[in-house]
Amino acid sequence: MDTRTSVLAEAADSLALAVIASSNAPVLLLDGGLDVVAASDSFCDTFEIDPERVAGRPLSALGGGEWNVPQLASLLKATASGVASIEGYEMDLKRAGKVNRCLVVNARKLDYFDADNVRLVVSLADVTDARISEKLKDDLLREKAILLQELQHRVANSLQIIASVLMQGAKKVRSQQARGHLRDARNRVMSIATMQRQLAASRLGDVALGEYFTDLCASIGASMISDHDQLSLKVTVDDSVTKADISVSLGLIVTELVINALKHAFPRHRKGKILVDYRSDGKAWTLSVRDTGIGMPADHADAKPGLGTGIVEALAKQLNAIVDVAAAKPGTMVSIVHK
Amino acid sequence: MRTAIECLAKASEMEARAAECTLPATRMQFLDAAIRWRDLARRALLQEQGGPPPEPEG
Repeated sequence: MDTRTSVLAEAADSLALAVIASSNAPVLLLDGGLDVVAASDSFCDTFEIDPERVAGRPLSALGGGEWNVPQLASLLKATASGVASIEGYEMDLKRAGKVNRCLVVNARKLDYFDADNVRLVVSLADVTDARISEKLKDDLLREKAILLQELQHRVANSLQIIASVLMQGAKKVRSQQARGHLRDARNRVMSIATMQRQLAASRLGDVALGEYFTDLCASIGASMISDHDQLSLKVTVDDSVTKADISVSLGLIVTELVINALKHAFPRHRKGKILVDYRSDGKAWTLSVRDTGIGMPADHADAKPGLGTGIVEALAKQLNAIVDVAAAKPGTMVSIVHK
Repeated sequence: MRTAIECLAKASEMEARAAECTLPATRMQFLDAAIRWRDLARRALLQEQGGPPPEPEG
């Protein structure tokens, strides 16, 4: 090594020592044999090593021998020889009687242009707390998902019980009108319960409308259609999915319109069918319920709207949609249109 | 669906997780989960005691 190179190496060493001494992070300066040239105060504080017993000692001999990690030594030697560098190497520092620490190690060779005077800067980040925090957050997310699923099951179960009580009441009362009201109430509750089931099965909180409307109409049909040869209820829906709150409104609208058709469109055991259709194109969608019944009475404009009509209009308004009632010849078609 | 006892066990588990948690925000969320599990246990107990009414025959 010529004099100029030697002076440069000494200057570089001084600079490296100054950087290590002033560092707030745990940093080591090692030589080519992995002996410690200098360690930052932060290194000694963090890993509880006596500062007086650091310089000049092999890395593997620091502390109680916890730094004697063959894989780390191997990587550092490869770095010292210039064939590799260490970036983000994670290791567990195991100390007797103490909690293991998770460290992220980075190491670089300082180029002194002198093969006999190798220096390595090794920085160590203690990420134990960060890893624990990440694991806790993951655990918490998993627990919340379990809790949400249980809540959905419990709510669906509660709704099912309410629907059962209403159905039981409907079967007991003598008044035809009261029975009708109780059945309607039962179907409204079932509309929400069905949606709740769909939501529990969905991962992203979206509801597949095809499955939802099919289940919903099957439930209404089971409770309100006694002769399936006389009346049929069919559902055609494209592959639309919507958010839960919108699905609730759409489900209630379907419930009201189907109940309305079942109650008024097929008097005296008239045969026919009810078709529920939903299709969307971008943000625009149309929900229609069509029956092949007797159609609207001639004086329908003067007819007093019932609770069902009020519910449909309110829900359509909530969805920024318009309600269109038209003669289908035969029957009636009610469309809820959102543009 | 879990029984009332299973919901209470989950509540206790969440409380234990909260107790060993050093991060205040995460601890509060575990405690919140414990409260919700206790509420679910209460609901489950009500349903287990009453049960869904049987459908009348005929």
